[in-house]
Amino acid sequence: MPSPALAQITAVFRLEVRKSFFARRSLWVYLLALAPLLLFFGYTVQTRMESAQRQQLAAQNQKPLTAADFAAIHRGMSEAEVLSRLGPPPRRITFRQRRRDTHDNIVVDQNQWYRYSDGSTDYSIVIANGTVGRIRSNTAPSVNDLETTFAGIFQFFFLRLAVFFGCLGIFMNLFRGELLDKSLHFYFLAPLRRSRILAGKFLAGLAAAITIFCLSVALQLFTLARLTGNSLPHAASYIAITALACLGYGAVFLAAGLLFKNPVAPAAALLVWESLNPFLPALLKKFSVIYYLGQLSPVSVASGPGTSALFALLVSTPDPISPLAAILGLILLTALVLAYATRRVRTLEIDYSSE
Amino acid sequence: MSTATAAVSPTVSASAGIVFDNVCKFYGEVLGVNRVNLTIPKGITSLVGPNGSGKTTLMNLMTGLIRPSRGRITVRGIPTDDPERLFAQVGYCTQFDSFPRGMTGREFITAYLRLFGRGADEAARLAQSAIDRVKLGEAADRRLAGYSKGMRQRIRLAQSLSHDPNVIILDEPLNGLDPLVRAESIALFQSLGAEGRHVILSSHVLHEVDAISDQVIMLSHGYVVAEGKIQEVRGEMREHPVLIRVGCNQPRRLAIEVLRQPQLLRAELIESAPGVASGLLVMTRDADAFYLDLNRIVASIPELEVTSVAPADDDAGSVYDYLVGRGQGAQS
Ligand SMILES: Nc1ncnc2c1ncn2[C@@H]1O[C@H](COP(=O)(O)OP(=O)(O)O)[C@@H](O)[C@H]1O
Ligand SMILES: [Mg+2]
Repeated sequence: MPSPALAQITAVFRLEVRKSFFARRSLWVYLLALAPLLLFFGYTVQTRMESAQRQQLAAQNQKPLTAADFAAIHRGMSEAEVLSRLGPPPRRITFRQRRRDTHDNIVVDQNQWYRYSDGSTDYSIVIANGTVGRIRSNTAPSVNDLETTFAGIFQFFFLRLAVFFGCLGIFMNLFRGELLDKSLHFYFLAPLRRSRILAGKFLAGLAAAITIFCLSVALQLFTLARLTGNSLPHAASYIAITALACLGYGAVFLAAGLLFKNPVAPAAALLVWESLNPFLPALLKKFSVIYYLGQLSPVSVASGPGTSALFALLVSTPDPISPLAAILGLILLTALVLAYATRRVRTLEIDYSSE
Repeated sequence: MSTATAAVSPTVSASAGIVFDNVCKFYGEVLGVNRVNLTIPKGITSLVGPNGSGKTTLMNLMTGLIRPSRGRITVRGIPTDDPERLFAQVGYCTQFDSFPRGMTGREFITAYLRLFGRGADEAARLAQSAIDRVKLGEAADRRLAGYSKGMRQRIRLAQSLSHDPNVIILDEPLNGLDPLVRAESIALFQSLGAEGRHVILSSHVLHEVDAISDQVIMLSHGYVVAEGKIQEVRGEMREHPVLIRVGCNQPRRLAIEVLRQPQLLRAELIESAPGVASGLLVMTRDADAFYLDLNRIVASIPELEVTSVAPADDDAGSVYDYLVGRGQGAQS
């Protein structure tokens, strides 16, 4: 008899979904979803400004310069040589530097700082005492850089913090919020199985979480594409991973809301548990949401040069499993947690007094 | 324990009534109700007892909001952990004065009717008839947040009646109502009872409900101390229970002895420190018989030393005088 069950779950869903989207207790969820969007917005505005500056510098060169011209410049070269190769710098900054000479007297050097650009990379060359000192270059981020940056922020900020705490806000309040408001008994006094109350509530939470966070990812990708002109690949994967994260964390926090009155302790414990995942033995790893999400990451965050060893360890997936296995694993974990939550809610007693 | 085990009416078959079979409920260490055996027939039944006597606990047990620590409860043959069948029959207006947020009275009733599997039109129709029944009028379309206490009580009553239940459970439904609304509510309960339903209400004042009750169940400290038709209960109340505090060196030993008495309702250890009992608190229907028996026990057990015997307080006695209306010039 699937139809009365469906009708009842739908009735619960209808009552809950508005609460899940607009609960006063969890309006901050929207800030979490908005944060990466602002971050990427800021990031692209900054890259755009930098790139405009580079273009401006490059346009002021006396002759067109290429990377090869700059490669020829090295430490100890004379100022005259630099000028003959590159022409006068579009920007020149003079600065003084104090130092002690061999007799321990203080001398003040007049140093120069030449800035050039070839359009995609800008160079600053320090000229001290008529010879080349330090050379620094700064290249505009490539699509590749953008991809790793996005993947990193997605893994470390978005999934582990924004979606994590967002699901905490939405799902933990499904039962706990009604215990605090003293309105859960209206559900318990209606002729429907408690498992259906749980199903309706979970689906409502999921609808809210998926809408808010998948929309956030889509907008992040859209913002990046619009502002940088490079659209990132794997958009569908990111959105799907976000939905799976909502599913997994949603189930976990729904159960936590049935077990604990105060959200701080379980949230902290789960955060530590999820962060420790790479260091756990293989069996325990599998009881963590991030384990499966990490397996699904479409871009390896740790692959680029210059990533620290600790960072590499944190994102490493030493025992990779196939995406299908990861998805099935996450769904199985979710089902286990929900089955446990159903058992809890069946024996839950209405006791508002001990809040 | 003769009264606690007898059915209110022997003619009720178990499947037609609300049956408590040796039910206990403890909140951790705290006693809610103890050794309750009851069969509640149709008509208006009032649970009467002072605050903390266990009225709400019994009602929450009947509706599965809490689970018994021991024993079993069925409502018209339905176990209380089967909400799907139970709440097709039962409506419960609790003592919790709280609502889901951001709804009007009508939305509140309609929303929960949808959980009963009613379509939108039918839910709207049933909500309207419940609103009419409690005479809430156009206030039904205002936000619950702006309701007065009386209006909140009425909308909760309407909600519990909206699906037309056969068993209606109302926790202190007359508490805090103005005289006019009170009279209207009483008329409503009487008409519900006359329609052949179970109507169970609670009150901490007997004379508030005795005129309308077909039967009364008296509660004290978690025990059913009397039950039956109102005249029978009044008769029993003549020998109302008293609490007696006995200080002695072997309270456990004494407890075993005094519990043999038929008039004794309960005996409970008084602890001067956790785990250290310094005396016994007994509740009995017959204080004189208890004192006589106590003398016999003390004489027969040489090592038992009783240091003090005194009525614990006027609690039980005065409460029952109050309950049955003695000393207030109420009906007798
Ligand atoms: N949630 C609870 N936790 C602990 N003790 C409780 C709880 N609910 C009721 N009690 C205790 O159980 C006893 C009966 O309470 P209750 O059924 O509310 O009485 P009444 O409704 O007659 O006032 C009281 O001693 C009360 O303190
Ligand atoms: Mg009460």
